[in-house]
Amino acid sequence: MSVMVVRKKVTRKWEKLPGRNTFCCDGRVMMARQKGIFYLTLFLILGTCTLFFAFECRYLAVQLSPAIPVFAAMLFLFSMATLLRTSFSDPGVIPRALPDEAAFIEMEIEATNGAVPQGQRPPPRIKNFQINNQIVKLKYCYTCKIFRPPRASHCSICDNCVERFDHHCPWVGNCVGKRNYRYFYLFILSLSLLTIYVFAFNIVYVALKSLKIGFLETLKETPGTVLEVLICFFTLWSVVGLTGFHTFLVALNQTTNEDIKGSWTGKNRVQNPYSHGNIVKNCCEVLCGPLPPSVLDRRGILPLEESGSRPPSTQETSSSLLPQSPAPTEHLNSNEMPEDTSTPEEMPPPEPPEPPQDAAEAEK
Amino acid sequence: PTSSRKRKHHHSHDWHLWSLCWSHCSAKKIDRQQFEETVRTLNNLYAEAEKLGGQSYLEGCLACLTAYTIFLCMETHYEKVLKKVSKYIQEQNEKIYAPQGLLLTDPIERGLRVFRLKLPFMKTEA
Repeated sequence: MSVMVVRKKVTRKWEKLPGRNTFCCDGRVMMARQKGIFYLTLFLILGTCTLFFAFECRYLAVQLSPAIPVFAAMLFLFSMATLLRTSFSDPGVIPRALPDEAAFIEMEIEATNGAVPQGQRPPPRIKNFQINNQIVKLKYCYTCKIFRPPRASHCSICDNCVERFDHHCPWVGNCVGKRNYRYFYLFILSLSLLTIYVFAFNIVYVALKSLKIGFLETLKETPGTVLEVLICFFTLWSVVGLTGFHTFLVALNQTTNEDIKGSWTGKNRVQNPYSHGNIVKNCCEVLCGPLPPSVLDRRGILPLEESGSRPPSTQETSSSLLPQSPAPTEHLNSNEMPEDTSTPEEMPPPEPPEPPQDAAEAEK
Repeated sequence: PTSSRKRKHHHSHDWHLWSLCWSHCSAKKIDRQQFEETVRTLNNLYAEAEKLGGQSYLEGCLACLTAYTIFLCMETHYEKVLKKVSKYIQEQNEKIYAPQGLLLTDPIERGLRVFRLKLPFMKTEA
């Protein structure tokens, strides 16, 4: 006789999130789909530092000072911590519009632009808002069906709109945006320092040892040195340059995305309104400013899809995190939760006909 | 007929203004004054969360020095203010909007872009 034990599996919100991210540790870790280059980064850093600690440090600690490996260890740990923080955290992904909001906006767009023939993309929709006497243009994102906040951009690799989008970094395996930019900057800064440090002390080691046993003998004794010097040399050129570039961006409170597009440069363009005009203030804001929490709520529990279940009020929006359906009617039919009959229907100011099922649902 | 009113919130320093886009008038008219007051208070709360000042810099530097491990035991200033916001919204819902048959959702759920007034029950009114 066999007894079947049915274990109720709890579905968390991250399992149903749209976009091309991978999640680990039950939603605690969020990364892009392609992680190969991230593993390469890890391998290079860990490998080079292991060689450094194993060979050069033993000699240098005795000959020069034990502080050398200690400082190297601190730099190594700090850069690993910031790397993992950058790679694993939510960069500032903006949740997609709920189906009713999306339907409303699309109807509004259609109303002003006229009917769009099937298969053709309607013209980019820009909404102007006046905020504190400045005109702000918001662009409409067709994938996420939202008007993007200023400085947000859609990442095509992760298929998400990200706030204060900087760029998608394959080395880190994630987008760099509002919530992880400071970690990214601290990572490339500490990695530059670590690279310079390891490079310099490798040279010192080779020099010191060559005086005693000769250059070729030194290389034969610790062949890892050659490898380390090579890796550090190439890393120096790329990472240090990148750090310099990002230091410049931080000082001006700009993103890579804006810099590439030339949003704030040029004769007829507005000056960067986000810059305080003061380098110190800009740095402080970008690196030490307040950090908003993730709005994705990856670990929230999705309510069960049963008609008898009464989801708590905070879970109301979770029902709309199900895969986006093209027509709003489909969404309403798949929702069997009693609370959802309360979802308001969108009615545009001029009156194009609504799908009849919406009205039927509303009358329930 | 139902309605969904949307607010667009621009989430940058200095630019806290909720611009009103009334989608259309519904059978249920809510007090515009009351609503603007709610919005204004929420604006002020978010401005407080994003304020750049001594406290936020201190928190940022301290966090950096401890390799951000301090957040395992401490809550950030922003999170504290967000808790205040959700308490305020709950309070407003209880006092003002629920008696009118409306429910205000917390804007943080939609990434501080929009918030919705939901009608928990439908009334067929003219």
